[in-house]
Amino acid sequence: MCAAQTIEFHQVNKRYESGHQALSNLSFQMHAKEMAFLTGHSGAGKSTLLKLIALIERATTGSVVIDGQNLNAMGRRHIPFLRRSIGLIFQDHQLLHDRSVFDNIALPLIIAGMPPAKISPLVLAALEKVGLEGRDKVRPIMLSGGEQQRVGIARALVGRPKVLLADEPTGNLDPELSREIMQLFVDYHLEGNTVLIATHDLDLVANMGKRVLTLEGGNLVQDIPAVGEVTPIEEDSIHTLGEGHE
Amino acid sequence: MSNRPRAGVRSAPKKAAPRRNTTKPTRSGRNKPLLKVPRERMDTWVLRHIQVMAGSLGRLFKQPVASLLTATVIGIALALPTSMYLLVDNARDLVSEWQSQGEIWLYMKPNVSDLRASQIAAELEARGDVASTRLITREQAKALFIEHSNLGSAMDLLSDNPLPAAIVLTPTELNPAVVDGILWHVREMPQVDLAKTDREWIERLQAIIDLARTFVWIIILALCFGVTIIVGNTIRLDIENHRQEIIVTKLVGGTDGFVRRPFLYIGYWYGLGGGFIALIFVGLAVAFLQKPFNNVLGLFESSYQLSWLSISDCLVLLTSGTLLGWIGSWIGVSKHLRDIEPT
Repeated sequence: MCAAQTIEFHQVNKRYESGHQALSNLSFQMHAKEMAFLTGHSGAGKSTLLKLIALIERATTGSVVIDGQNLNAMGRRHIPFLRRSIGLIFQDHQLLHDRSVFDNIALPLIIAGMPPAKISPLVLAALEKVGLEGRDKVRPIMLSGGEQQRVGIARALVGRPKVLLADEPTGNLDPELSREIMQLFVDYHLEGNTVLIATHDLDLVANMGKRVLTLEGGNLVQDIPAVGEVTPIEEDSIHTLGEGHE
Repeated sequence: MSNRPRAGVRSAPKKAAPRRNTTKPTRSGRNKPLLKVPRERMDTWVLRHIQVMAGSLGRLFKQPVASLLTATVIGIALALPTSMYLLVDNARDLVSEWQSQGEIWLYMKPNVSDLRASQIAAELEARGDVASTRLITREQAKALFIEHSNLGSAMDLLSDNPLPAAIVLTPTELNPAVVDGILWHVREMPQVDLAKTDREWIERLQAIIDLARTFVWIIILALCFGVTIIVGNTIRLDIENHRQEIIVTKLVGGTDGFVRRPFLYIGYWYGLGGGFIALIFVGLAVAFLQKPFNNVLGLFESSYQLSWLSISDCLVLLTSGTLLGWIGSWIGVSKHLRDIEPT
């Protein structure tokens, strides 16, 4: 199982209609149950990379393969089912402000057609996990930015997706809370799931000892493997640099 | 504020393990007896539909004035062709009622005496297709003429009675073949000057009503089209107002069907509400028209009454309203939903 690749990028280019080249000839793989950080300055292409995995954007050329499925070949009708297998955490939370915290977190389960009786315990457990127990009935607007972020995290985790993608999940949090949230991701990874987190918080990343992919101007300029792990070097991962390896 | 949540986060790793245990069995629930899962999914599906149905109604009640206005516009658009249809339908019934009084009038030649005319009437009554005959003697004809026209005094100036005797025939059956058979026979008789029925002008009236009916159908089609456009456009605005909800739903894996559902139900409610309002409008129109209409008919010595919509007509109106609302929202949603994608 460990050998299986969950996320594969093969010479991926992404050029937006505006002409902006967000990603250039990007290749990398993440095996199942791996955890990695994606770093780089803003505009380096981190968000674009995550969007390609969830088919929010499509690659201009090259191929993105998730769990053996080439996303280029995936029709519009199948996108929802891909997204159900991926937990997405957004920098701007993407919560529904006219619904309670409970309803926000329950949304993926409702969409998946889960019976109501099973939803409630899962939602409450997810709330507890992100430290928001007892806040299920309030509207997200009543919560602080950090709390809203954690509601978004609970929503991403509640369906227990095999892949978790997070775009600047600690952007609004103070350092202590950021570490706790990161620990939450590590725990989720240890439960046997693939986790990819885009962040510019290099200090935080350095302490985690996980694989770090660094983007610069849409190119993968550095791929540091996790401490104590050996990542197999792929033939086509052109941009892997030696200096970070231990 | 931040102390309590943090404590929760710290305890999260410990809590993770038991939580997993509670989740796993539900995920592997597919291994249970095959029949159980579809039944449960079905129940959930029905429940969600009812929830969305009620939820979309609640959404309309949150903006009661705007919703009522839209439903009223739909109601007017539905009431207009319905009342026209009702009128034409009434006219048709009325004409067929008149037709059922169909009699054949035979005017004798001037030289035929009353006695001869009564003999002819008796001969005709012996025919199988004639139910009854009534003789109007020359004197009776004169009396009728004086009674029903202003020219009574002119009649006094004449030394002779210029009016012929007449026989009024009632056929046993009112089907055209029987009536034509009698007409063909009596027109051959040498004593008969003129035989006529009121069928011709009834046929003309019928043709006019059929034309009006076709016209009403064209209006019905045009206004149905109008209703779908009204609903479609309202739904378009509604979609725009729920942009964020649509994006978030799509981000967490909502299918087009799932996103579409609340909007379809909103169209459904608009259509149903419009149907009810149309019923009220048509009801009011009939109530106001009934008296003058019956007055007019009274002048024509008809006992016909303007009828209300039948129960089945009401159901057809409500169903078509609902269906049009549904179709309109479907068109609106299909057209605009694709434009809203997460970026």
